[in-house]
Amino acid sequence: MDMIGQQLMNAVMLGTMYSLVAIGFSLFFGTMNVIHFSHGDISMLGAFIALFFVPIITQYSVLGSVIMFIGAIVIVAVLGIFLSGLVIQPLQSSPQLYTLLATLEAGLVIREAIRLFYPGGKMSQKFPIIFPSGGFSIGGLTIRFDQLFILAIGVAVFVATVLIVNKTSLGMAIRAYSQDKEASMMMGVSESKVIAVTFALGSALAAIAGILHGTYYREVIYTMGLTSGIIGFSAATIGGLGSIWGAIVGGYLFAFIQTSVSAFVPGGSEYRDVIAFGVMILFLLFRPTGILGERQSERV
Amino acid sequence: MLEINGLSSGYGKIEVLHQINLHVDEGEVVSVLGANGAGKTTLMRTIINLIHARSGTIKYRGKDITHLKTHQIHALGIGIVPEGKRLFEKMTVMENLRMGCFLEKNERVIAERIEKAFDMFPRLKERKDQLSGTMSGGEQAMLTIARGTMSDPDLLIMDEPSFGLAPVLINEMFSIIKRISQEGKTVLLVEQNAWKGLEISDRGYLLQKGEVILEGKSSELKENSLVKKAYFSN
Amino acid sequence: MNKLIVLLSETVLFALLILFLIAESVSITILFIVAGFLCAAAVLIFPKKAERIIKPFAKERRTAIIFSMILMAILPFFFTTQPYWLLTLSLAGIYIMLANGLNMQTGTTGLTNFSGAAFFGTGAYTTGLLSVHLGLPGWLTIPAGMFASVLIGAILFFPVLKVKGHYLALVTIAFGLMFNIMLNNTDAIGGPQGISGVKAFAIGGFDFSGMWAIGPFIFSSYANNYWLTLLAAILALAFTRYIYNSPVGLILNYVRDDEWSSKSQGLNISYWKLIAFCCGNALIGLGGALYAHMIGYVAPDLFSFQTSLLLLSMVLLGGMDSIPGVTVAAFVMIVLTEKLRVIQDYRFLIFGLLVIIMIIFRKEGLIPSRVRPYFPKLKSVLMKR
Repeated sequence: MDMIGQQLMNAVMLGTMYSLVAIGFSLFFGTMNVIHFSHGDISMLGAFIALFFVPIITQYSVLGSVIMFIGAIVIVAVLGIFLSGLVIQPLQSSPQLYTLLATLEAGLVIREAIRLFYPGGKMSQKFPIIFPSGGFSIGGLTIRFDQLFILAIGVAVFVATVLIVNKTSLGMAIRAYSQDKEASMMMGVSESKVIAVTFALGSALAAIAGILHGTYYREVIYTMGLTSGIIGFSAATIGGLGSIWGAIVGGYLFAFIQTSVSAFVPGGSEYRDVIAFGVMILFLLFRPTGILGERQSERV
Repeated sequence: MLEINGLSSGYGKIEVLHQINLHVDEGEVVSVLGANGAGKTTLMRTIINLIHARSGTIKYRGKDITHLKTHQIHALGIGIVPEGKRLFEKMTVMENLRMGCFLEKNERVIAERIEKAFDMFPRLKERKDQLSGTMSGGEQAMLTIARGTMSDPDLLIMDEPSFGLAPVLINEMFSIIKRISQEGKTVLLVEQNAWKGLEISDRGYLLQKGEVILEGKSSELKENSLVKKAYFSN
Repeated sequence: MNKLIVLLSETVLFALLILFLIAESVSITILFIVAGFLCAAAVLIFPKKAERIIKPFAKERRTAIIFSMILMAILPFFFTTQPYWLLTLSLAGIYIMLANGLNMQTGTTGLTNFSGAAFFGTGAYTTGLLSVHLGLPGWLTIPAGMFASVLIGAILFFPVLKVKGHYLALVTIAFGLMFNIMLNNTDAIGGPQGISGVKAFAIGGFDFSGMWAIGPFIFSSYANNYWLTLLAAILALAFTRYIYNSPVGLILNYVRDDEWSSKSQGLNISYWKLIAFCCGNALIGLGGALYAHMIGYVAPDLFSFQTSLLLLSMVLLGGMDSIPGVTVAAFVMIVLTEKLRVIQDYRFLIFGLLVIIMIIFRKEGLIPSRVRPYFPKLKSVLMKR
């Protein structure tokens, strides 16, 4: 019971981070019909930029952590917009493969830049503790405070994202644009603004995921973005690309598959990604639109 | 109000419109007629810069709008009813109407306009929470027009609003366009249905192979043999 | 006359290559690179004038090919004292096979394969395991490596046939990651340490790791492996060229450019996709098998996503669907990184930036694939879609 509880908690933590990355994939696909393969590396970048704020945290603790969060998120959001202008928008009218390759290479460049130019970037970096340590236990299950914080931040961000997309006028513009680009422009929606907002929002969520990853594992490394990007895309695919709820469901599902493999399959912890990816591939083959997706995987 | 001089445009290597001259004065209803492939829709799309003009100028109230972006052109007070409905299919009727006045931030004004739209199309009121993609063709056509008027535009550009409608609905549609113009709006109407189009408009242009081959008062055009010819032979 | 131009210019190029490799000072190397870069730029800027130099080659194709093969074959004679560069050239030869195999899949048929390194690894590991544990001879292990690559590729058959575009990219990337995790965590194949002690290729009692001499020229294992790789690379290129110029190549292009239309012409798309996928993997497996015998050691690090991306960069920089382009790109990228040890650590960054710049400004690559001569208008029409 105890072990299962811990595993469950672990799955919830992982799921929260995966979902945050997956939402970005869904957003970009829904509005611009592109897959932004460097999205995971954007998330990694979020964590590393947060590291620049470490001196502030040591000085101001709580306020410092808030500044770190906001600072890293804003910087990454701006970088996301910049990246979309560099490798996505210029390629909108070219075959898919080029966008794919350009974003993958962009991810590689980000990874390599961190590895080469971040001081000691080849090794994993210690991430500061920003949430109160300690915890409490209910019926043998120990819950740490940082876990609660991560969950709370995750849920708050999910709710905020859903509200932004469904209730605000910007969100309405994004939805209109994703349903019919030209018609939305005829109604006064600015294309460049929608694209900028979408990328800022998606990148901000990825940055949050990166920072939460850092706080949970207490360390970050430049390669973490590649896996989290592929996992994020897999999660969005399982849930149904284009749907925000789908991305959230997919993120948690992916995490539950992973943790159950490492919990119940003997010696499975090394192979958890192998099996989770395998499940994703099966999903793609037999239910290409995902759990909640309505969009066809190929639009003719 | 709208002045088009020597406008050419097209797709890829093919030029579709050649040196179009056209103007719309305040308060007028002007129809652009022509057979399939004459370049009517290309003309509309070039005016709102969904296709870039190759040469020539488009002026609105004396201001050059040739190179403005589509949403900026709309913001000057030009409402658009696009060809083929182009509704936001996964949004409700209400949301579609709100999209029509996307740039209007005053909730009271929006409520008034929605009220007015429901007044003009009572049918839409019954369906206000339905997803627009699930409505019938006639209802969708009404919603497209209602959405186009939501921004209270001075000039309304309509691209074949009657396309694909049952004859009964076509009559209704034209009486609505008439009503819109009586409320003081200027209308630029692209129509394949020449007789209906000329009936409600003040002036008309006849497009053939991307050129204006005839223009004049609607009453005169109706009598013109070229109009007949343009419609019944290609 | 044409013949003379071809022979002369090939000899000059050959001499330059040797000088470039032998030159020890970094400044000379950089001088060479700048000169090469300027030449490439000149060719891109004045395509008409470049055409005049290329024309004799097109006219005297047979002479050009045979003579260049002779030159490459006598190359070890110039490196008896610095055999290390022969290893670099052999590595370049292996990457030429890998990149051309990938090009057959991605460039010619449009099957996005982001797991090239996995098939490379399959070939290398199979050969290594068979050689170390069973002591099988090279003439058996190399075909076995190729076959294993094709077989492992079978796992991906289903997705390759059913899934397209972004999703195929996702599946292949995930597959590459899965493969790498398996290599790292399976102790039976050495885990993160991999397999060492793979024996050198040997045939008919002649061991390729041995030394031998012709008069004053002494040849080491480097030279032996160089000749072996050269032979394999020539065969691989001949094979890809043959496929490309045959009706099969045309069909593969057709399948890539318009699936619906080719289906309506009665083509069995699945069949042709499989052909392209298997042939490509066989070539990649061949590269892996030769690699294992040559280096004598295989480890998971090399068969990572990074390498897959490097292979795709070669295809893209050279020009999708362009055999000469891909070949030149693979050769230049490998030789340059070996020559410029200083940039070794920065190579992924540099190549990544280069590919991005290339995609934005010159999608067709350095040496674009030529319009097929059978139906001059076919490709230009299809390209517009």
